[in-house]
Amino acid sequence: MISVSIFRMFHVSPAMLTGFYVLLAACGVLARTLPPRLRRAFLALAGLAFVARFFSATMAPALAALALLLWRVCDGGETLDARRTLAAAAVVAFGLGPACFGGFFAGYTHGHVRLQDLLTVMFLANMLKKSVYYVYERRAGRARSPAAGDFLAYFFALPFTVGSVIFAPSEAASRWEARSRRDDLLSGLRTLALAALHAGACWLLIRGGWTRAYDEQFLARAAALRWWQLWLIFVSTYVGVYLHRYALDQTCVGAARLLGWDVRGNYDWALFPADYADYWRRWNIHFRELLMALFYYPSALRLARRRPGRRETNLIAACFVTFAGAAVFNFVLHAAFYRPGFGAAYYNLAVRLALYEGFAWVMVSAAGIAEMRRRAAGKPEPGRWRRAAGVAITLLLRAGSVPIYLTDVPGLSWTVPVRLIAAAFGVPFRR
Amino acid sequence: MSAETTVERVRRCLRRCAPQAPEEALAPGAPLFDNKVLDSLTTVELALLLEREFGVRVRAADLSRERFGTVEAIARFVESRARTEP
Repeated sequence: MISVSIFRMFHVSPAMLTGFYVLLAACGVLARTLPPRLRRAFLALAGLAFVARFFSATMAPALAALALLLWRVCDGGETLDARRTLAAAAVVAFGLGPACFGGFFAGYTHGHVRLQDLLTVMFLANMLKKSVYYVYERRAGRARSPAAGDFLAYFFALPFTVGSVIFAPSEAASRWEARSRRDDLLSGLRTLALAALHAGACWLLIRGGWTRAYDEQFLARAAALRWWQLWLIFVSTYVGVYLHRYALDQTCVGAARLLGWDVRGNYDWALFPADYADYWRRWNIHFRELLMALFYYPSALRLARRRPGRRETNLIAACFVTFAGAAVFNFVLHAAFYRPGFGAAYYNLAVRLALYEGFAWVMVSAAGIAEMRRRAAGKPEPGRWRRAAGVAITLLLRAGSVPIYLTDVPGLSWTVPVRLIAAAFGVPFRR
Repeated sequence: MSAETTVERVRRCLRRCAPQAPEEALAPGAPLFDNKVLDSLTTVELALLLEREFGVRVRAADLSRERFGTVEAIARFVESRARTEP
């Protein structure tokens, strides 16, 4: 039977999720009895308790060192000596971190990737992204030097131990208890319910009715599959990835809302974008905003001032800078937290990231230029049928890039994903 | 410069870079990003128009939801920038 999944990553840990929900419910009740100034510190302590329960004990020294470094970075963001901070960050990320975490992550001691391993990677990656956000906002005058409670809450509060939501520090501060508790409660519960539905759908798609497929098994059978079977696999894998990411991230958002942060959602009907640029606007919104702030707006503004007449090439160049920045971010994070050098060698990480981000760069630039031309010509928004066609094409484009993320095959040539994509268009595939 | 005048001038800039935006989406307190009036393309265009209209310098770090989220917020931003950058 054909499996619909070519990834190994969707192994939910019921113990971990149950633990999270129990702790969340307890915190939801307890936090309301505490005075406001203690509430956020309490939620940070709950987050640390969760980390201590489910993450490896060897993480403690690295986590403490990382926290101290982050505190220094956030506290002195405006006047920070960039060279010394980068050196310290490199020691923590590439030295102390992998020494404590190496070999534990990503399930290579378990035979497949488990959710709790994935969460550990995401949690640490988020801390690094958040520290970059903090420095950026401090330098831009958008965030103030944090009080200890704010700092702990931003990095360690219970909701942020799951998912990959990395909203801006200024937003975290302004949206804390911005609404009534009743609104927060209702909104949080609604979001958590939706996240649970997505998690259930993901579980059904990946486990229900189909055999669990691993990359090796998939590749062994790929040559025998027809083009439409490959497309079925790619599309359902992409939908599975979406359901999985939505479930995790919106669990974080729902939990945050429940506990007092009116955090914006990280997905906005991301399965139904009208074109590739629209997809990028709707998927992992918080990280996208960081990339926009760090890479897109500075380059787009500079180019627009220097060469105002070349709008289309300016857009292509600004998008290139943005996706190159995204690739560097992901490369550092992956390479830092698997093992020193391990991520780069084992996964062909650099090539895979270049392929993936390069594909996104071309697609987003093309969609942006089309949108620019439509507006310049004064044409109306696309009608219903055209929009439906755009949604279908974008879905296929997204699904078509799935083979780039074939991860768990040692020594896999970077040409294999490319040849798999070609096979979906009828070119015979040979491993 | 009066606050009302600034709001009107900001709306004029917005109409130029997003001519298809409905009038109610340009109400002073309406969320420009959520209403899809501003996106990555129009935000950069608007920044340049504001620079020309008000003679202020807009930095990339200014293009945030807090400062560009509504017409009112933009008006407040250009007024404060005009005061600090005479």
